[in-house]
Amino acid sequence: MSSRSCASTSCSACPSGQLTKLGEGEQVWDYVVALAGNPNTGKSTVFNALTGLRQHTGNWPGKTVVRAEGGFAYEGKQYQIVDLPGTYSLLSASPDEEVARDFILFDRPDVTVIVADATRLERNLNLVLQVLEITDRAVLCVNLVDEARRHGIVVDTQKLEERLGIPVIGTAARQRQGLDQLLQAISDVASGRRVCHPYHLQNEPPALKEAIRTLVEKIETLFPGLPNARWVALRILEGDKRMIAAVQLGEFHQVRKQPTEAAHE
Amino acid sequence: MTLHPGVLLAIGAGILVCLGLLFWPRRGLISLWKDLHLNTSRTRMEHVLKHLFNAENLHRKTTAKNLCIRVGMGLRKTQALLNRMESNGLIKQDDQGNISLTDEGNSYAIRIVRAHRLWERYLADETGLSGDEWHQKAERLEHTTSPEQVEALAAQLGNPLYDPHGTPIPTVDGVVGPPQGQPATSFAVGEVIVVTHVDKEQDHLYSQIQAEGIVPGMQLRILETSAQRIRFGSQDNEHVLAPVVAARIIAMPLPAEQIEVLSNETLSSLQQGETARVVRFAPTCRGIERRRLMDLGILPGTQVQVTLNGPFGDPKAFLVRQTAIALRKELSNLIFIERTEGAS
Amino acid sequence: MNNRDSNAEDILAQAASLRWELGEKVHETLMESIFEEAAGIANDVVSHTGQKAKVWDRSLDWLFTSRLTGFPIMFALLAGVLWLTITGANVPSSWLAWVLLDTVHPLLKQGAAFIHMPWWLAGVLIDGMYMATAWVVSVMLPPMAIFFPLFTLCEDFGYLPRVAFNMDALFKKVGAHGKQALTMSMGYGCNAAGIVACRIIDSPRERLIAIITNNFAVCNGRWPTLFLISSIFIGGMVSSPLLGSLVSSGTVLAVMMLGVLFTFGVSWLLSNTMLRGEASIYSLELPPYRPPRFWRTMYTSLIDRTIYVLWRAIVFALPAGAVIWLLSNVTMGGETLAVHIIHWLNPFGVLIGLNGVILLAYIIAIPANEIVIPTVLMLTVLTTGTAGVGAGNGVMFELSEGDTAALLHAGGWTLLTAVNLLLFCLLHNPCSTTVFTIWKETRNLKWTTVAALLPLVMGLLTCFFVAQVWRLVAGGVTP
Repeated sequence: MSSRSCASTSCSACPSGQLTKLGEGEQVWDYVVALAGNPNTGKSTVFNALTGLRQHTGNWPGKTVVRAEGGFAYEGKQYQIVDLPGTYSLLSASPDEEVARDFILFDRPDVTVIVADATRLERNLNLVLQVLEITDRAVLCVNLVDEARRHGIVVDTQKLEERLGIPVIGTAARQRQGLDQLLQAISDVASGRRVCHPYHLQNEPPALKEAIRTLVEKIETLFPGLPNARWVALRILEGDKRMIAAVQLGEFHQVRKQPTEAAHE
Repeated sequence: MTLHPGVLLAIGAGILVCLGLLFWPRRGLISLWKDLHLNTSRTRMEHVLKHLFNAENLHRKTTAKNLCIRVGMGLRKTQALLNRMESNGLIKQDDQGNISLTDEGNSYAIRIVRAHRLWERYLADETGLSGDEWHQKAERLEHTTSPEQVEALAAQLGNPLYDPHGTPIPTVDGVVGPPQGQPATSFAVGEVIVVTHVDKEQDHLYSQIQAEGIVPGMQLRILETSAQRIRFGSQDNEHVLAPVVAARIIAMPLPAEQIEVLSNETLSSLQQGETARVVRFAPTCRGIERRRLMDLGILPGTQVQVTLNGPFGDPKAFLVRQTAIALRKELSNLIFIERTEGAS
Repeated sequence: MNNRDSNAEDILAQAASLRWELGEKVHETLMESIFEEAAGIANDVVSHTGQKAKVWDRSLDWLFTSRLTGFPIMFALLAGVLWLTITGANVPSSWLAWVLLDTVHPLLKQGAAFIHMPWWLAGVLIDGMYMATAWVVSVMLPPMAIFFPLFTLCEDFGYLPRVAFNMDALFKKVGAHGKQALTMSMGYGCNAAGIVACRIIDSPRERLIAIITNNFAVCNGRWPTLFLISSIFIGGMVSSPLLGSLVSSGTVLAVMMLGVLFTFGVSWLLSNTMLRGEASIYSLELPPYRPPRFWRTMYTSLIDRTIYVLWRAIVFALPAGAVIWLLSNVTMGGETLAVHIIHWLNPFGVLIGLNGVILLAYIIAIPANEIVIPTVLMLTVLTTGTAGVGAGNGVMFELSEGDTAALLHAGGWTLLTAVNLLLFCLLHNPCSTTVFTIWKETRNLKWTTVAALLPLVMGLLTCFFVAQVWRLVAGGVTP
């Protein structure tokens, strides 16, 4: 049974007890939630379960090319949720990855939910670690736990939560299991009730580590309070034009566009 | 409808042939005309600038005589071109006929060289063209690309440092980075080196190196050095080159811990159910291809196992980090492996 | 501000010099270390207890991809899906036609007469726009509503990537991607949907090839033309009805196969000429099998694909209906515009073994190929002046097979006309919905133009040469 002390009448069998799906439409949002993840992890299923929209979900990578947007209300707050294209990584140069990377980086969503496939956690953690370099307001949704169980795979979410320093929720979005806890975690991080201390990469080669350290120091003095100086340093070391321009102009935070405007880009 | 169908057939076929002659890619009249059109005086001038720039970097002297061979014009015409360039303030000629670049000429040359090397890099990384076409194509494109387009290209490529031959690309401000390594002739027998750069300034020497299949990123072991020849061993081959030619290969010594990975087995040779560990990518696996492999989780150190053979034997599906990924032979041929005991 | 600028430049300059020191391996070494750390964490938190499900996946994989069973299963499934679509669509199609065309249309006309709507307005609105839209709905909706859910079920189950895996060796020979087998199959349902599906091809060159050649898969909007013409002109040559229907289905199949041949040929041509320089990479993820959720998939697929594609077809068909009605009712010098255009197009049409009516019908039907046959019939009545057939100028209609045959023969149709119409049905410009989709997917004027015009040029050339050779062989018979 759900032991979480969420307010009033929460029952774990009906996650939509307090969940109001808002679909698309003109809204004033309290929080923006980004949904990132590898292709074929059930990301769109999670999106549909939260918003009540029916974006096509295929057992097939490369379905969502443009980002989809929807919304929901939970505990009296309005959440906008943006489904980013499924990507394996955020460090390469493909257009999909750019959409996902730029959104997390420049639009600064209040929470980034990373959907991972429980049956292939190792592969998915690659992306998780990259996202955690960019933002510390993240929730990991380990989806497809039912399928993993069928394959004899068990993920210790408690331990994973300790290792990663962010909330980790096991879900089976197709069966609507775990959505209640996921919503609770999203709202905790969004409202600041839960402060994350995410895992950062530790084993870079010494030369790279040194180069990053040098740059991070300078970047942090120039832009105090920048949450992801390490990532900025990494990207300019990789010659990312967008990031170089951001450093030159000192603009790391894009003024948030209206959802309709953003969708037409 | 008075025309006989046979006549119509002939007319139709005739029109088709004419259209083919006009529009055939690379050999049709239209593309030949385009080539001709490109050969303007500006193009020739830019070629001269580029040659001067390269020669000065190698501290070689240039005269009108050396140049006319390179540019493919008569001596008189070349001299006329040089005089025009001098009056435009791009070059200086001294009494012995030695030609040097002025500051203005130098920055113009850098722009052309930068465009050329960036284009080569682009063609190598982002298109499906083969190695011998990069240079030819870049040779044309460098003249038709505006400085803004060049910068956009650089940004798209993530401001690369080296062209696909390992030559440093000059920055916008004209800084030319350090060439990595030293001539292959300077290493001792038994040393293992990795090729960083192949000098292609002298075509006849470059073509010999190309014929041996030696490209940047390749690992070579020095087997023999003498005044007559230098013998290299690579994965599956031996290469014998004259020292003049071998000196055009720039290389770095390979750190000891990397030498053991001189494996010559590729992923394509793995059979159903067998497992292996990836040790490195072939140097020709670059750009999008290499990035895609890494995104899929195929990197040096990764465990792979063949799970599925296609009905025609190609592609094969490999189990990589709990996911089955099918690769074609062309790509799996570029991934070097080391067999391991199956731990499935 | 000034201080910041100089500082920022300082950082970038340092980064630039560090880059030269680190070389270009940064990306690679970084990726390696990320994966290494990911593996470390995963090892800590994941425990394996058994592997029974894997065995199930493996045997399915063997069944679907082995040389012995892979291809038979694949073709059986494709044939099954097509058969279910064609036979299953008949009933709802005729029901929709009865409701929309035979019941609602007269009612609308009566209503218009009742409120004294001017005849021309009723003509444009009801005979033109409503008719065309209703026609498209009744022809297109049922097969779409059957074809796509079936396809989606296979997709959700995880079978389709295995098809791409099996077919890859074939497609590789012509420089294309195995997934093109899927986008092509989707094209049999609707080319616009097939082109959207090309998104799954992640290699730029192969994706363009798949988009440009998708039109060679005959979409269900073109099926009625194929069925009708081959049954009247080809199957009709055989006296026994059973043999006749066999011959006519064989003809339809032959046209489809010709489309496959064209797909391979044009793919090869493109990958060796126009698209030679485009980047090409191949990788294909084979996801685990997942039991599809039948009802949910049915519902989602219906909403997601059919309604969407259909809506667009209707948007494009409405104006086409108005154009048809206007062309056949506005007169100039005592003749309707349609007749003028047909007379003007006819010499060229006859030259390539077709006729002016067919060409005009294909021009009007650019928005929706479903209305080719009714438009052809209406225009034939218009030009031949056949009395007692049809429903008036600009009103599309359908006849029994026998009456259609009689009307077309009266319109001067020969076996050559029929054969060339079959070829032209396969090889002509994509409908405007498809062209629009190509534009949306590629955002490139050049490729959109190529995709739109290439099949048309090939169709005109093919028809021209077939016509001349036919006439040569037949001894210079002029129609």
